[in-house]
Amino acid sequence: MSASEHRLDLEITVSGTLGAPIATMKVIGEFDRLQVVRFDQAATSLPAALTELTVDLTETTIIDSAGLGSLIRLRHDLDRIDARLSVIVSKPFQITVMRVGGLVEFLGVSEV
Amino acid sequence: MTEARTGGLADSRLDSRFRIELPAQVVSIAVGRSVIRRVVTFVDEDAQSSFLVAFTEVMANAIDEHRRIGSDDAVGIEVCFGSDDVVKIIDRGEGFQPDDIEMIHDGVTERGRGLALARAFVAGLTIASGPTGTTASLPLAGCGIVR
Repeated sequence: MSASEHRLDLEITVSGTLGAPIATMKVIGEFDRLQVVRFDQAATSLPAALTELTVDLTETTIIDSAGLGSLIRLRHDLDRIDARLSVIVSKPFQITVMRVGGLVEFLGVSEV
Repeated sequence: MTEARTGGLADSRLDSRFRIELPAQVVSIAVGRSVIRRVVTFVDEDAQSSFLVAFTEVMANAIDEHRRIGSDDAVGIEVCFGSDDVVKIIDRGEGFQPDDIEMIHDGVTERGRGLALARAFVAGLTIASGPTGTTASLPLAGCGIVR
């Protein structure tokens, strides 16, 4: 079992144009109460003129309710700047977390 | 810190258990997960993630309860194995009624999903709660076995 499964890694890429940047935030590892602070901090570093953000959760090994809370806060923050949020998942447990949390539609969750 | 008791030769089930006590701090959630990973063989990675999400939620609730009442007591994690493999989380809070926890599904509020997630991933999860504490039992059946 790799060490990365027991911590959180974040990969942020920004593309698009200066006037309409698009960002992808990939979360790797354990997205839980211990790690949401780092996620929240990373989210604040995104361009203020962001038009679209994709949060890739396909390589998470844990997503707990604290992680969901962080995503909800992010959605509210993006609403304030009229930016669109989409979340992608791939593993059965990730899909279940989103479905049971009642957040599939609210977070724009899609399965890859 | 730990104790292990095994059944005698006359006990054909050879039920055993061990218990660790962890401080009511958020880092104890990660420590608890590490212990479970070490002693449990899961069916597959998704089963592991599913069970550990449930464990995380229940452990977080126990820690929150200790903090709420200002308790310095440790939270117990007990792993029982033999005829039934079960992980138990024992807190020394003031108890609650699991059915009274409101399930939040409106996509707006940031809290209130923990117990729903735990129950979704561990169908046989049971909670015994009283004025001196709460014990949540998470059976491993279908997810894995204690090795």
